[in-house]
Amino acid sequence: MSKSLQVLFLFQTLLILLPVYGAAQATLSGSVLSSTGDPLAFASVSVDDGRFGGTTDDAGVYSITVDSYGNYDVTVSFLGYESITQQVTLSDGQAVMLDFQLNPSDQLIDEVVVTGTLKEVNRLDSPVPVEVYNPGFFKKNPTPNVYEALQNVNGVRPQLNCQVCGTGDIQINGLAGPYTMILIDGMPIVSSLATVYGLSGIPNSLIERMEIVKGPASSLYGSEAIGGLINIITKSLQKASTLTADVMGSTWGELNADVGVKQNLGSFASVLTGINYFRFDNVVDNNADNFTDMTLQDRISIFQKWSIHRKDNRLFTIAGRYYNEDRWGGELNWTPAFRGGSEIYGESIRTKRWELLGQYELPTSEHMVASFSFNTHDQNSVYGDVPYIADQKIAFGQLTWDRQVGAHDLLAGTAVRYTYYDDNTPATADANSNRPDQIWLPGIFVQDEIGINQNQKLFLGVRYDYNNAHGNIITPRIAYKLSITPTDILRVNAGTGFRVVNLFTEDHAALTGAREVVITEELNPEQSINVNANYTKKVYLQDGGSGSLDISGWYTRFSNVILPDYDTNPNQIIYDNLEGHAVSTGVSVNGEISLSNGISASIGGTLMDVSTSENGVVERQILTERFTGTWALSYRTPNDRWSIDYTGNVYGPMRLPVLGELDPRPEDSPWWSLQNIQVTHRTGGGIEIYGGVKNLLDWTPWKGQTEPIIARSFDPFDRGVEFGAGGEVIATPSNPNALSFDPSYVFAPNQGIRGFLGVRYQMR
Amino acid sequence: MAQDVADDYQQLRFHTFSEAEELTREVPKPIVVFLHAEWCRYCKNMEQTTFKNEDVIKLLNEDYYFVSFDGESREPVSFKSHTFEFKPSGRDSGTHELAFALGAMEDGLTYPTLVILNVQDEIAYQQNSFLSATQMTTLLSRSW
Repeated sequence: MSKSLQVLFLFQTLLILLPVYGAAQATLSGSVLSSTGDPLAFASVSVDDGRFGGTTDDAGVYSITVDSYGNYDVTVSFLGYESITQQVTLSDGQAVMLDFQLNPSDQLIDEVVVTGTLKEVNRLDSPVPVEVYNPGFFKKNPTPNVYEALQNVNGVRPQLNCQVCGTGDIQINGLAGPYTMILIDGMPIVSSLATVYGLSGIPNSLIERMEIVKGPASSLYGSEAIGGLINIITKSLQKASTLTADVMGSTWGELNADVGVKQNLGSFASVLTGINYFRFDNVVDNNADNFTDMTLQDRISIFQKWSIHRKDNRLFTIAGRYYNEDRWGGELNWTPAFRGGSEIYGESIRTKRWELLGQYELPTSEHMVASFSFNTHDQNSVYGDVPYIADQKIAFGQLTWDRQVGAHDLLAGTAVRYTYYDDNTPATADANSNRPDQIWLPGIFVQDEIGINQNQKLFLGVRYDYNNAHGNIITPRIAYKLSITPTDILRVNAGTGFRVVNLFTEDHAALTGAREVVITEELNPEQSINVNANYTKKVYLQDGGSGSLDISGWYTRFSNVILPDYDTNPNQIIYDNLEGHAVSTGVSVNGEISLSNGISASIGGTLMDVSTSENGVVERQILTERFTGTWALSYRTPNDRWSIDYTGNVYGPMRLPVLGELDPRPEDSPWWSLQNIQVTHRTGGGIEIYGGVKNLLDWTPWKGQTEPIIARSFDPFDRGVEFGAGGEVIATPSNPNALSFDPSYVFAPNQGIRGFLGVRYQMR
Repeated sequence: MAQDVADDYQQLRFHTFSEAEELTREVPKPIVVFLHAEWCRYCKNMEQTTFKNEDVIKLLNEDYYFVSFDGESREPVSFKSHTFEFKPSGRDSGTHELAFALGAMEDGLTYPTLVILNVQDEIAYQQNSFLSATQMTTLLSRSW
């Protein structure tokens, strides 16, 4: 039975007990269809000018019991259609069938019904600007995973870190992946090792919405959220469909399949199960460097979320995810038999990951929620002949309490995080034995959101953590929101950040094996102070259209930051504490318009400067652009059957890591742009077919480059390279540019133009 | 004062569910429920355009009892001798039972949803989309 019928039923039994006068009774029933034959749900049917009446169900069927008889007028009406009135004669005990077909009314025929909830929105009320993205936004340029999907968001860039093994992280406002906190349902489970490898296995179909905070968000979520915060909210059981399926393939041979199923286990629980499978199994080498252009991948991710019904309507959910991935890239003739050997170069990463997370609202009169998560991450990888085997376990528990007291919206909580990390490198060993890294991080936080008056809100928060290696960490935060008018909002947000660096788990370059990793001193935690300002203007049009303009500026100053130094010695990556400071500052502008005629457009740009200043020398951060832009232009036909989306982004030049003075590869990347087009057809019955072209311009980083992107790709084990006493490469007649094998000069995916086609099915 | 009289016609009268219930007992009129959420753009749009339209305000004030209800509000609501509660689905998410009972359609509850309860306490009409002032005027001019 449909929900709507249940609702009507509920209300009828709950609310109305119509007295029956006498025995005279007749029923009138039938269906109400549109002129095209589609059933019209919730059309209203009225008998004798409203004396009796009812509405159609979602099959367009109505049934009305009339407890008197005679000649009556029956009127059927529905918004957007011309009403029809017909006469009917009812006599006692008779059942009369009467069907109606309604014509669209001229008055409203041109008006498009605009449904909310599928569009990206802004949480207007919060003092910290939170951007909310719904699945509809990401469908404009469908991607197999969250990592790639984020390329559509202004100021957010998926940064490919490994040309060969195809992994990357998410940069927000020019700050690298580890500065962004990635949460699933508000819990920090995508951390450390998983910032590099864990993002790819979250099926898009399980995402209800993604909340993005660009700029600092540390306090409630932890002290590390300096660059920003991405909170992935999984579908609630109430909102999930009974069955969803999404299968997409591309002309490159990528295959992505998502299936979601919801089951109701009576009054006990509801269960949502999602499976994501991705496979790419083609060796492609369009740039003829004898290395795979795109990493081969075979990945499965299974997610299950239980919502346990409690009598008092309190929250109790438990979710688990299993993730298994096998990926490799390297020389074209690599096979698993060469894994870890020095004959044929290949990077092969096998990952197994378990996650468990739950939330439980305590049965107390105060509103308290206990949350917990646990994950294990088991990575077995080789980079050429260098193995990297790591084992990470993170346990997290949190208890929050919140209460509204007058104008104060209070929240307090306590959290503890335990991290266990072990690998085969000297980082987790001393002279004699293996010594896994274990960190306990207990903390407390308190925040108060004060409604000063209708137009002003003040947010005060402070977090205290104790790190067993680094001691006390205090991160305060203050935010202020002023509603100049209901549609003009100004926000200011300031605070500090604190982060302990784990090189091996977060900096991919430390692992590729192409350069020697040198750590010259004990690395101190990174500390920062930041301020953000944001102005949002909304314009609402009478017919449902709307426009918005969003301007943000930020300034973050690091008193210590650990950055890889590629420049001092081309054969090394040197990590040390910064003697000076680093700054990330910039401004971003986003404009958006959506009209009721089905056209919508958005355009955004971010201008930024990320640099370090050490001993009086100011230097731009490597692999960081000064400008990025994103845009999307969409059109939806009035009947909602077809839509077309054109999306794109453009990136300004980045400083690239070259191998010394003689390296012939350009020191800066060119301007580059990825553009995509898609057509979607909704055939009805819950089926949606979509297809299009990705990378329309067929842009790849090696187009127009005379020198190969990977230095000495023909000699990945440096057999023909002569090294000097200090480990530096010596220029020889066969190696005049003093190069060694180096795949770390990477700034963009190698995938050129490709077509894609997919189908989605949804059963409510 | 003249100002007050003028305001009487221009200000939309908001009622809570219990107020509306009480009022229908004295003077029966259909109840119009506007279900919205804080994050819903089309809801904000309707608040800023449709519900500021003079014709819409006049119709709502004279012929209906108007209830604007945040579908994600957390306080229990008593209506028609039933208590409806907030049902959380996550730390910061959830749906109020009453919003679901009134507004859910075949594809679940979406925002905005406009619900008209007729004087027989039946759900006479549901619409889960943006409604312009013109559409709303057409809708409210009908008898329910």
